Parts: sequence; structure tokens; C-alpha cells
Amino acid sequence: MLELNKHVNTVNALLARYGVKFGIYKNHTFKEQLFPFDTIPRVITHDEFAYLEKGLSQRVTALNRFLADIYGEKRILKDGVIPEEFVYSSSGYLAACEGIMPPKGVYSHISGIDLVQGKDSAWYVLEDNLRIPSGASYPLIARDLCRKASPSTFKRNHISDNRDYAALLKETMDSVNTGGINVILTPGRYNAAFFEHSYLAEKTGAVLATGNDLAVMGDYLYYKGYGGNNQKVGALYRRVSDEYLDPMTFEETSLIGVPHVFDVYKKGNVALLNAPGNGVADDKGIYYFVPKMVEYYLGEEAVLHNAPTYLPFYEEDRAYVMEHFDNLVIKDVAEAGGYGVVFGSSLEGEEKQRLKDLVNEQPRRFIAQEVIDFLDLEVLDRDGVVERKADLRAFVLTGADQVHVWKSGLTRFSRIEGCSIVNSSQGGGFKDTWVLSR
Amino acid sequence: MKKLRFLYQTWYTFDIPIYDHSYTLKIFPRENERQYIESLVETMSYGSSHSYSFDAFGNKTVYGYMGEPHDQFGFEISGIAVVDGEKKERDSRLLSLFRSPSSMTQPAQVLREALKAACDNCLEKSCYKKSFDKLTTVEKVMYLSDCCHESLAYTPEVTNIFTSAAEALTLGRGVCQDYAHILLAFLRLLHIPARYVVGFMSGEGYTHAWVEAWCDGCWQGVDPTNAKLIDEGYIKLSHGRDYNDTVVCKGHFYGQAKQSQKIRVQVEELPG
Repeated sequence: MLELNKHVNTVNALLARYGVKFGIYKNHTFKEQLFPFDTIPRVITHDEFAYLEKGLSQRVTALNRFLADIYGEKRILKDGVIPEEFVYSSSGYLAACEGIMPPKGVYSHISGIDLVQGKDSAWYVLEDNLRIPSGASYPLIARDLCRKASPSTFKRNHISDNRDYAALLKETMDSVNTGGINVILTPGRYNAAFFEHSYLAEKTGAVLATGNDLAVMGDYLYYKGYGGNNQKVGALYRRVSDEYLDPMTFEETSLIGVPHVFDVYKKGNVALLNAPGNGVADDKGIYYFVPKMVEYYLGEEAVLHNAPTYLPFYEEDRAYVMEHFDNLVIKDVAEAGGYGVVFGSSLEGEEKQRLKDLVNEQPRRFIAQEVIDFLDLEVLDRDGVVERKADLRAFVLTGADQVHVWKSGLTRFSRIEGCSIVNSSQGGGFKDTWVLSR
Repeated sequence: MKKLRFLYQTWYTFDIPIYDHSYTLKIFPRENERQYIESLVETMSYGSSHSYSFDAFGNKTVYGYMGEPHDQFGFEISGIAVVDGEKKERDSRLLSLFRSPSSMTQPAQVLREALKAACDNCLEKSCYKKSFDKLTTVEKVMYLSDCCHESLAYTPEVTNIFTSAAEALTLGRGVCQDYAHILLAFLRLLHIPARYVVGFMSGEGYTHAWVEAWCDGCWQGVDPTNAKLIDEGYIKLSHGRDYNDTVVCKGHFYGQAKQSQKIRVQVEELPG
């Protein structure tokens, strides 16, 4: 490991050269920034990962069952486990998906589950990402470069090889493919995750395409080849969000989608990874109910715990939130990427009152969580080794017949001392995640 | 029972050719308990490929693609519908969705206040001479439809397809779409499932919009623009949560063309 630290600058230079960058479009300007890599890995022991693996596949299985239920029978609403307004007021709920069963019944093929480890060393799930979670490519390429920089490190330590991600992703696409080629749909090179789109296409052998390269003709989706040589598409790993996916069904002004792709998906003639409408299950308000979903659909107790969460929607919780405002972190359910997260204690007088009033007026819009004291991880700073807050995004791949937890993950850390917002869009860095093989 | 012959034409003209044109049309009369389509003829500029589909609400659509430059696009649908006013639709799918606010029927303060005033004044204002909570569901729907009718002055071209229920009510003017949205917002505030309906009405030269409310196990159609329950002169095309779910013609094309649109709707009763 120490050996690896000597190569930190080389590895970062290579990452920059390969285009491991983060594009951020803010206030009408596009800025690309590097995603700093730290060579000290997060290490997860074999036994600990076995526990996480069990909990993660259980959680993702329940979430997939929930999605099938919501867009189908709605048993969980009829049985009163989740109040229906939580579903229908969620911006991720798409009525257009009502009654659709995606190919092989899979909704969330690629799930990114964000966890943190507390100082008590217990793991907590902070967030489920079931729409188009990004980040798998970063530890993937970083591992590749680290292996080159210091082969002996990987010989001496028993680390699960994480380079199987591409094979797992391909298997997932193949298993739901309805007949045709695999395509990765990217919004284009200005997208924050364009590096990942191109990297995964290269590694899985899928065709990288933008909306203009694809067309629906009749009942099928085609990749437009040269000279009218069109190829049928059987699985579309689309890295375009639901609202921009099809201007004929969703946002009309979208130029990055494919007109009528939703119609042929509905007919079962192409698989979309992930399925549209998944946002209803990773809504911050629905998050509260995930452990209940596990019990409801699987008849098991949830292995993984949520961070203790309160829903101001419930009167009892609202009273608690008002009383313990300073000890809680308040999250706006409509925001993502670390925006809309406010620590109650960070606000003063009028500002605090304003947020309290807002929570009282629009309780459905917020959740409140106990502040978890994250376990700090060692990070190599300019001045040596320092301790920083970090989270872990674990990737769970669900195909037609199996749920597979990738033996690695994206560890993101804050570069500011004491700060627990680790999002890359907020200037954080990343680490490789080593899962020990014995 | 009535037999109605209907004809619906829409023709778009573009001042310069457009291309890469995708379209979706929701122009097929629905078949249900109250409405049977005896014959149907569909004529349209399909383009290089087209197909049929159903949306989440069971509305039939035709969609297609016209890649080559063209400066006209249109369709015509005609046929005979048999409408039985005695029968009601009983499809209970998605009731919970139709009970929830939609984007154009968000429960703004102005709607809550208007609804409260309507409920409070029910005893003296309504023809039932009862307080609101004593009314049956159908009576509530009819009374609120009347209130909604009074709250707007029918005025074309002051609102548009983006106008929400709250905006129309604040303005106090609007067209059938606005009446329907306000009534939907009222009913949903009372947790009565309600849906937006597009169709034809005898004697109108355009498509019309009204509301269906879930009353004691079936859907009751009510027309707040004309302050009456729907009768056998109404032919239903499609339904959804609000206008957005029932757009008759949606298109996406390239070319900075100015477009003009001609619509013709004819509905006439045939002798039984």
C-alpha cells in the first residue's frame, strides 16, 4: 500500500489523460474538473463484505419488487404500508409506466446504494440510486492503473479482482436483451459522466450512441448505420434521465432522447436499463419505507439499516423534528448531488425559523435524519496523511436470474476537514475500494 | 340510445418544409360500456413508418415518423358511434391516481378557498336545499360543476394549454379545458377520483373537454362548461389526469417553420 502512495501523482496524471473528469454545468457555464484520486484504498474485510452483500441484494430485491407492485397491483398501498400520497406526489413516479412490465421483470438493473460506516462501525444506508447511478468506472480504471503502477501490491494482498464489472454489466444487458445489439445511450460529451459512458461501452462491447444515432421505426428501435444499414437494438443502457428519454412521452423539448422509444419499450421490444419510473423508489421520502418494504415483500427483517429518519409528514415525527432541529440534518427530497442538505445546527435565528416554517408548510418535501458520526478514513493530503469523512457507493447488478453485488465500489471522500458532504459535484475525491478475498 | 355519425379532421400547413418529424395522435374514440364504435375510417399522412400503441390510461394512439421534408401533415377520422346513456363505465383501475393532484390541478390556496366557499354556501345556493355533507356523491359532483361553471366567464383565447386550474380560477375566464381542470381540482381535494375527458359533442365545431367523477362504483360524466351531466350527444376520445395526458396531436420536428392548423369536427345524429 505504501508502495502505491509513491505513485499517486502518476496515477492522477494518467486518470486526467484518460479523461476521468467531472463536467459541471452551473450558472450557464460548463466547467470540467478532475476527480482527484487517493491511493490509500478503503479496505473491507471478507466477512464484512459478506454481510454487506447479503443486505444489499436483499434491499435491491425488495426495491425491484416495490417498483413492480407500484406500477402494477399496488398491494403495498392498498395494505396501508406506504401512504399513497408519498407515491403520487413523488417527482420520480411516472404515470406513463402504469401497467408496464419491463423485459424479464427487472426495473433496477444497475443500483447504486450509498452507505456510510459510523464510528460504532455499523453501516447505514443513506440513499438508494436506482435511476442512472454513475461511478463504477472510477474505481474500475483506478484499479487498472494502480495494478500497473505497483503490481506487487496486488500480488501480496488478497484483493478481489474488480475488473469483472464490465463482464457483469454485459451479462446483465444480455440477460434482458429482447433481440438485437446492446447500446449505451449518452447525452454527449458535455455530460458529467461522459467518460464513464465511453469507458463502459468500450469494456462491454456495447455501441456508444447519442439520440440522433437511434430511431424508432414501426415497432422496434434501430441503431442507424452507414448507408441505411440499420441494426435492431435489444437492450439500451440509457444514461439519459427519464424526463429527457422520449420527447413524445416525457419532456417535449428534449433533443437528447429518442422519439417513441418509450412506445417500443412498452411493447416489450427493447429493454431499457434502468427502467423508466424508478425514481419513485429512490425518492428521499420513500427511502424511509425501504426496511418496511423488505419485510412486506420478502418476509425478512432488513439486514441493512437506514440512518434514523423522521418524516415531518407524520405529526409525531414533525414535533420531534421541531424539538431536535439542531441535532438533525434536513434534506429536501427534490434535490440531489448534495444540494438541499442542511444541518439544523448550521442555521441561525431567522434563517432557522424560515426553514422550520417551510417544513411545517410542506412536510412532504422534507426528511430529517440524525447526524451520523462517520468513521474517518485516511487520506493522503499534500501535508501527509489526514482523516476525512467518506461514504461508499456499492453497485448491485440485477439481471434476469441473479442479483450480483460488485466486489468493489466507489468510495468518495470530502477534501474538507470535518465536512460530511462527499459528492463529487461538491469537489470531493475518490478512492478504490478493496474487498479482501479471504 | 343514440347513433352518431362523426367526422374529425385536422390539417397542418408549414410555410417551409419540416423534416425528421415524429408524431403521436390520440384520435380514436374509446370503446366502453356506454359507447360502441360501429364503424371507423382513418385517413392520414403516415410517413415512412407508423404503428399503434396504448398509453397508460388505455387510450389508443397512432405514432410514426416522417423523415423526408414535407410541408403538410394531417389526419381524418370518421365513423359511427352508438352511445347508450343508461350505461356507465366501471373500470376501477388507477382510482388512487385519479384521486391525487396532477400537474395542472395542484391544490393552490385559491382553489381551497373557492371550494370551501362552495361547500359553506351549499345549503342556500344548491337546488338540493341541503348542506354539502348531506349530498350524495353525484349531487356533490353536479353542485360543484355548477359552482365551477359560475366561477368562469367563457372566453376563448385568454388562457392556453399551459394554464393551470389555479391560474384560470384567478383569472375568472377560460374555455372548456379550464372549467374541467378547476372541477378536477375541487373533486380531488375532496378525495373523489376524477379524470379529464376529451371528445366531441353534438353541435360543436371543435373537440370538447369534460370531467368524469367516480360516483358509487361507476364513472359519471359531467360537463362544467355547459353545467350539465353528459348525455348521449357526447363521444369520448380519451381520458387522463388532466390535459397533458390527452393531447390529441403531439409532434417533434426539425425546421423553423411557421405552422397553421385547420380543425373540423362534425357530429350528427342518425335516425335510430
